[in-house]
Amino acid sequence: MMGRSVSWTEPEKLAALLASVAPPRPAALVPLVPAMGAMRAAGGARARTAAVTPPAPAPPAPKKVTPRLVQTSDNPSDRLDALVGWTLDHQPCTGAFVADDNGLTLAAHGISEAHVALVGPLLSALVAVRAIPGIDASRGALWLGTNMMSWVETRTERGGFCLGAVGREALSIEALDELRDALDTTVRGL
Amino acid sequence: MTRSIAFASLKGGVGKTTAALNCAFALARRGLRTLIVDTDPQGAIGLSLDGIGDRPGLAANLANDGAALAGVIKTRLPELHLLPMGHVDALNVDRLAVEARDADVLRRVIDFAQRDYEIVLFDTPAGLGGMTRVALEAVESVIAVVQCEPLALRSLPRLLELLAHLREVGASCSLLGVLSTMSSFRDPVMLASLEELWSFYKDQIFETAIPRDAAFLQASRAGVPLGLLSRRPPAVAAVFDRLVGEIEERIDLQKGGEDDGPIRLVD
Repeated sequence: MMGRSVSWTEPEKLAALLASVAPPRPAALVPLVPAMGAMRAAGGARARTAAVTPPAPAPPAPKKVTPRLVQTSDNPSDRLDALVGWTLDHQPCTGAFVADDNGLTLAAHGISEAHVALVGPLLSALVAVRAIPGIDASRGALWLGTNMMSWVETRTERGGFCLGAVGREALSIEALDELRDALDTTVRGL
Repeated sequence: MTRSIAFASLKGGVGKTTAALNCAFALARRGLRTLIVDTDPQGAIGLSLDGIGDRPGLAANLANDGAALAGVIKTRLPELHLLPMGHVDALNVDRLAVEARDADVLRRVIDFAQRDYEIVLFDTPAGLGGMTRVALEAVESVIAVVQCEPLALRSLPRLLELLAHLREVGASCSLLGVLSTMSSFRDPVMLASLEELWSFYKDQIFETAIPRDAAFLQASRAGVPLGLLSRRPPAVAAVFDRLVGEIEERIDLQKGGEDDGPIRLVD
């Protein structure tokens, strides 16, 4: 008897019965927020003899696709400016900067002098953090007053570079991956 | 128009009386003038509430050709009244249903309730014959009460078959919804039963499931609705507030009228 439903219900017969006893529902019925929605969904999937397949889930909202950064210049200054511009255009931030691992700001837009001054000590501190086994210091985020500064780092033969963004909230992991990709693209040709 | 709902189940002990009583209390607490009528010859409402005892009610009205609403008892809530069954001799149980049908007593209860009540709930005995059938023939809607266990689930289609048959022969009663009771997610059989209910009955299932809770036993012992078990009612009492919200949605109960609207918290 394995697999038989606990209620021994014949789905087709039951569906016909329910249809014959259902009341006319008010037209403007406001749907309640379903309680235990996830469990209901699981229940629908587990009942092997369900009369009707569960309604198809709503199609997921189209994912926002961020265009990759394309560098068209060999000029380092132009490449860094393009990187900062791309960051401002495609990430939820109000300011962006690029710095080397000595804390020297190479390009910046929309961030205060205080933030520029902070980059050096922050990167110096990360040098020590980087030495801790198991800690990935190549990206992170930090509250600075009312702003959140998010950053990614990359290492090259010429040293390390840091791309940072300042905004109202921390960037997502996906956004940080995009920043890292854009930073790699930019410094590869320097 | 007064709305009428019967709580019914083929299987006994599923919580019909508890559900009906606590729903009536919750409806009254929401300000709806509510009458709960005991149609169970065993007097389930009377057995559930302290202070009812053998007060005369529906049975006496039938025996004496009395007014349909004679014996209505006022409660602590001004909006909640109840009509008990009163004492029924065990030898007269079968005859009671026959006399009730002949006298069309439950339809008369609903008719007379039009003036004073917005909603009338009928608690029915277990089974599909006798007073249950009389109630289903009289009311507008039925709530099928089903305990979260296999036997109760298996008996549920029988109630629907009766309902379909009664509609074929002219009754207006329709299924308002299926109410699951004594639910628990910790027991695999109960969980499987709930899942099947959700799967097979879909929108007919009330979102609110009545959980298994020790407070029901305490309320039964004290002979009170959950909401009056203590000054601060047990948390589980809130499920009936949610349930009656769903019931109101489903039967499209009239709101407070044209002058109803937001009321300032601070004057």
